Amino acid sequence: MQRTSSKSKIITIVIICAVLVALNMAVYFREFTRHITLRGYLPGWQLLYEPDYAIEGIAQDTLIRDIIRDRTVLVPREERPYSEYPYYGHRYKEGNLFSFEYYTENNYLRYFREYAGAVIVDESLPDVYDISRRGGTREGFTNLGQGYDMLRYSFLANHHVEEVNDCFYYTFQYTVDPYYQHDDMLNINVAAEGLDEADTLVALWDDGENLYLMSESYYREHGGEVFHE
Amino acid sequence: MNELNSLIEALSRGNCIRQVLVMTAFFVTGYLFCMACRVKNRERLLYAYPAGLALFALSGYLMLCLGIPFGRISVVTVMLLIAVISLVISVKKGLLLPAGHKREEERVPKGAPEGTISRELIKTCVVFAAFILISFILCLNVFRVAVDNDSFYFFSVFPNAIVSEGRYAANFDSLLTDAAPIGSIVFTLPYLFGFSETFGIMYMTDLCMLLVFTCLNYSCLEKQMDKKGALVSCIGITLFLATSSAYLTSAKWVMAGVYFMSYYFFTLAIGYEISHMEKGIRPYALMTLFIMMTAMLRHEGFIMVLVLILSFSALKGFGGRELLAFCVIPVILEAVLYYIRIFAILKIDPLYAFLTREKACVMIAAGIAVAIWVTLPRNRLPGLFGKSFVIVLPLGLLLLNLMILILRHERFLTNLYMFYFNIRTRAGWGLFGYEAFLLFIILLIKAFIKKEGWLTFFDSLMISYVLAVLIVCYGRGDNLRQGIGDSGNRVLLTAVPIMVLSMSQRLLLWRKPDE
Repeated sequence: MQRTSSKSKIITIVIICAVLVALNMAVYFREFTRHITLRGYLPGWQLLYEPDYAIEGIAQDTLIRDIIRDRTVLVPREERPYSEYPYYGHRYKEGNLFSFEYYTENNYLRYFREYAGAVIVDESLPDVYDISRRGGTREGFTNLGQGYDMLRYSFLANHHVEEVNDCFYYTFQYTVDPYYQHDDMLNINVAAEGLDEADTLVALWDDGENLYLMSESYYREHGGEVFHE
Repeated sequence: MNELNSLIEALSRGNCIRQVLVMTAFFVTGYLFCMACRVKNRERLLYAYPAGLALFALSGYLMLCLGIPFGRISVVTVMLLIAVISLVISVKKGLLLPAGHKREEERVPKGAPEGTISRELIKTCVVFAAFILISFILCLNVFRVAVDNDSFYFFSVFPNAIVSEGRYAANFDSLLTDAAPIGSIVFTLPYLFGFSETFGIMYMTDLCMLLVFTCLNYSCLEKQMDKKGALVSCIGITLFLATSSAYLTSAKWVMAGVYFMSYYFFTLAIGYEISHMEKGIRPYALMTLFIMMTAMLRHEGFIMVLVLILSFSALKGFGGRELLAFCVIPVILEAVLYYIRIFAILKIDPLYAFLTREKACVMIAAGIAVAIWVTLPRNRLPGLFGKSFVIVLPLGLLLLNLMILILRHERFLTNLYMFYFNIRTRAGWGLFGYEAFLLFIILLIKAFIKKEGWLTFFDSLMISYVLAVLIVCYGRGDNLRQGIGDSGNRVLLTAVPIMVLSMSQRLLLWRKPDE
């Protein structure tokens, strides 16, 4: 079998490849920064979550799941099925009535049941309607931003066959529905002090679905002044 | 903010070493599996890690489809069983020869110098050590990655839920019809083994793909060029591919696309190599593993794999029965298992879904048609399976596209325009679109001057792949859109390695290869 390859051919191939590679590398960074839908980043830690996300208020979910993984979370109330709410059965009737408090009261609990090591109901903790709703955050907490995306995927944790909760479409409730488009709703707040070493966490939320996640020791020490109003 | 940074650092402790250990386990298991499949040592080292990852993903997929609890214990048990069984098979077949024992012909060629076995052992150890070192580097996140919404949710929240439940659950709803089946399983690794992300795993898969690309390109080029020329050429071409934005968009993006692109290429490479091997010692099990992995990595992977199987049928080295037994039947069975699980057992019926019952039936019907095509007419219409099939296949797909154009011209033309627009405006393509167009013109001129009226296997596959992408994107249901994140754009980007391979060979080879 005849094999052909002159020195000049090899040199030509090398030059062409070198030019193309140089061209690729010259435009590389410019090409990738053109696309704002993609975040290109150099992660310094071994997490999907980046510290900059807290400033931008995105992807809190990736940090929350890392925090609660393999840990016990204390919550103030037990889950209620949608059949116990006033507008059960009205979803597809005229007016499309739906009990929003179903999400308010149950989503975080389902979320922790799905992704935490264990969940324990402690009714001594302040309930959803005992905590005043407020925008921003509270003393000692870091606001990670509003968790629209975090909660629009909470249906993954729903084990009840509800008239709306097995449908992906309902996530528009969190992303489009004006009911949720307020500064004092859906804020994800974390008290980082002592959180990395705690085996047991406390999760509280108000009727605006503003979440407060902290270590149990932090709650025992500061919870009274922060939440009991 | 400092407290948050400290928290993040504390949460990530141990993540690097755990990811490295998982990758090493994949390498070892994959190596043993390849050895039992009678893969030669050089290819064994190349395919060990991809094979190990595929063994994990496919076994996880089968567990979930069959309702077997999916968790750390079951996964580790299965992987250990595979490793042990592979080792036992290798020992029984005499494939595991320590230095000084009698040589086996298939491991050591006749006339090979003394010490070949010990050299092979040393080479294996060196490569293994290099693998661990490179794993560490890649798991330290030296290189940038690209993430978007789907990375956080389809390929993080959803896989986490799969691990939490240990099964597919009805409340997963449209994620079972929209998210990549095996793609999602790959992303369960952090939640099974206690780390947080898969960047190292992704980059190691990219590296393996580039190495396989180089080796495949070299093995084709060295048949018509001297070794030095072939080596220089394929290294240069690989560097071009590795630095091209069109490749990097898929390679760096934390999604299923990177795995689909890589495993499609692994399947292509091993299939092409097998077609040139003697019949007695073909590693069919490895090809079956890769083809099953690829077929369900994304929902449209099933159709793209059928195109690959049809392309394989044009190679002289493949008989119809081999393709049926080792390619078609396995991919049909694994797809059927999934569809039964989600549609018949879980009774998923989302209001909006990419995969519907009707589409699933169409895909299975296409699989059955391919099964019939690769076996029945082969003996009766040999011309179509000879040198003409490399032309017949793309023509057939072109005809299908024309039919869709006639029946649904508005959506089809919109999709076509979006592909053109995204390439022209460099949405993830960089300059590749322009480079490829220029190269295409050069190749046309070369073909005209040298009267090259033939298509190679890779030419045919490249054209068929692109035409198949048009068909599956039409079947998606919605119109494609502008932007890098458009699903059609992302699927077409996975064709880049095949395009580079085909066009570079066309440019450098001076006569039609013997296929």
